[in-house]
Amino acid sequence: MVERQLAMVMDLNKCIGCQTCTVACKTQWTNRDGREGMYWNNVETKPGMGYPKGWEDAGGGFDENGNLRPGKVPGRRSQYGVPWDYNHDELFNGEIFSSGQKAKYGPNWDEDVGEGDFPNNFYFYLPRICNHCSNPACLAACNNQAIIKRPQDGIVLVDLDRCQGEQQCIAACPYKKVYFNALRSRTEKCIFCFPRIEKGMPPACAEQCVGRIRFVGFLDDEEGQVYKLVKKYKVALPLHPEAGTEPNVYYVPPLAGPLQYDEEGRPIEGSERIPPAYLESLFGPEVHGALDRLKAELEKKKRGESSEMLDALIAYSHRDMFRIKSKPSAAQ
Amino acid sequence: MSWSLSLVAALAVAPAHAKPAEPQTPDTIVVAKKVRKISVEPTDKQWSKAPPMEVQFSRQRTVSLMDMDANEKLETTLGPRPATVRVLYNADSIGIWVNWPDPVKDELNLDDGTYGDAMAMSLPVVFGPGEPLPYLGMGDIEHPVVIASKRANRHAKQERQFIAAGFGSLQPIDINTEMSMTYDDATKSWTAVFVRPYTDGNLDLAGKPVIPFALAMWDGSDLERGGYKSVLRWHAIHLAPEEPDATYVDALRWGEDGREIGNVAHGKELAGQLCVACHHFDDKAMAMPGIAPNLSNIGIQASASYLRDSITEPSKVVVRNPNSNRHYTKAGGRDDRGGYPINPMYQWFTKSEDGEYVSKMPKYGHLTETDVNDIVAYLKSLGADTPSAADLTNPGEDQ
Repeated sequence: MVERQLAMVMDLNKCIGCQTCTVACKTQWTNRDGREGMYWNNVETKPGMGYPKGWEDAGGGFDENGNLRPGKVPGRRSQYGVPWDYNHDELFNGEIFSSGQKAKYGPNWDEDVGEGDFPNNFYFYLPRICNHCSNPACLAACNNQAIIKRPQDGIVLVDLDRCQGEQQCIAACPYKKVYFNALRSRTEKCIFCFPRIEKGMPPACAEQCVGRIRFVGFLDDEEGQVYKLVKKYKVALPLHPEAGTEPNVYYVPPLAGPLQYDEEGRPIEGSERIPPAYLESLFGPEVHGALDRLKAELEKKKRGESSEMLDALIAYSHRDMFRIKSKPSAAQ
Repeated sequence: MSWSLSLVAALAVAPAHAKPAEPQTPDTIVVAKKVRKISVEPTDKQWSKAPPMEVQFSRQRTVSLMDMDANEKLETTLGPRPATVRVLYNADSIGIWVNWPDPVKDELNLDDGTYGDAMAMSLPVVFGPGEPLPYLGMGDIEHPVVIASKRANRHAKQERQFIAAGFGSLQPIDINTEMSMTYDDATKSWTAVFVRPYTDGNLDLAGKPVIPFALAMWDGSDLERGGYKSVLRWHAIHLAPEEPDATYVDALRWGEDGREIGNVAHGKELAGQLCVACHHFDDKAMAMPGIAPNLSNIGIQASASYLRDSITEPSKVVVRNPNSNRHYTKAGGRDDRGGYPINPMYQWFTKSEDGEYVSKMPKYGHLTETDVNDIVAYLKSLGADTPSAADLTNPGEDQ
């Protein structure tokens, strides 16, 4: 289908939910021209309803035999939320600070809520962009063949000349990462910053990330850290692989974190704060092996041995994290 | 009820001082009136000179949507939609005026994600005696269509013009069709007007006394867009009093407007033997869904002559799939870039070595003319009013 595939790895153990990626994306692409309400990149708290609200229950993707499934187009006010302005100017006339409207939802609505009761509550952050899937459901849903997957890097783009605004791609995308621009009556989505990629630069969200959690590179570049984390060490996994779209954004799952506490406040040995079953519901059954490998490498490093996997995850240098100009490895 | 409502709406736009033209009897051929100037303004008095024709748009679900909410709406939005059509022409342009009752004015807007009401006009690039009509909607590989569309949008003027040669092939082209779409609160009806020159780089209608046209209507309240719409199957404009080619007019009327062409019962029997291995229709659903077009509504989508040709010479009109990427196969495993290849079982055509498109449908050239006509007569009876249950059980399937 494509000659090469660019991919991104995000290490969830290091995401602090600061939304710098969100802002980098917004100022680069979505603060104008009818895109104001879109978040091509968002960071949501898991467990949580996410953005748009309840996207994991909105259908789409492929069934296990490879047939596209229908899905839902999220509600504008109820599930995305509509941006509003405050009455800053009127404040000088003695008005009360107000937005003048009652918001029902918005991105990051349930920040840090998570699940469970203190002291055993838990949450982590999940940054999301378009997954630039190998079998994109959006591309498969479009009757106008307005969605293309670029052969040179597998980036999935909407051809705005052909888009008719039917929003079938939105219904079919299991990640709800395609957005409708009512001003243009066309759908728009994360473009993996392809104009930056073409200049050898990583996407804005990746470069601006203060936690240095994002790695960008080609899946066939065996020297690259993306290849090592995804293919060699298999420690980075796609989100909701059961949706059948073969995503190309991979996540290093969060380690379980501190132990749970009993009623007297004593740590329960062998317990896991984040239930493994919950992580499996997000990243599939591979998540257990990935976490085991991650723990084993951590132990190695603690013993003073070297670990290529952890050296990558420490993210020493942008030059190693972002390999956009690389050629395919000879073996490929 | 709605029939008389639309007639009232049609008459309501005619200014009191102009004598309205006599209505036309419903027919495949719509008589156009010659005038000096054609206005895109729906209440322009010239339009009252064009004889109105009552037509029925039929609900069509050619290409299933992937939207579950719209699929649910299918069950409550059945039945035909009446409209009134008038056609004017002058030395260099042709104009189509269409009025249809719609209790709710839906405009696409930023606030609540409403889908806008819309109307589109389709004209064939290749037509005339001996030439089959294009596949309705997006045309086909040998028979492209030029489409002008207008959608109600609160924020922007949403007018587009395309050339298309099959599902998914539409290419935007320069807009040279003047369009308007006006809602009248008094009659609760829309009027759309399309006025375009006979000739441009894509289309040459000049000197043709009979010009086929088709229309499509979308209702935002029913979440309609794309493949969910109501269609007016191919009709033709007669530029009276130019002399039309009688054989062409006969060919266009063949099997339409209730003209008997064969034995429906015998046709049903034959279709039950010959077509069921690949097609779904009526209560026949043994074929694997999606491997061939669903024929449940084919009677209102396709012209009788087109159906005849597609039985005897299927490759004359090759229909592209809505989108073959909707099915992939895991049989051979992932390709070396991590994705699965398209499942060829769902592709409706193949491409020969010399680049010719070949329909996967076998040629039924051995049937007698009577048998073919009987099958066509039966197919024309399908989908006359409501989408059948077959459409509703698997709303996600290609049809």
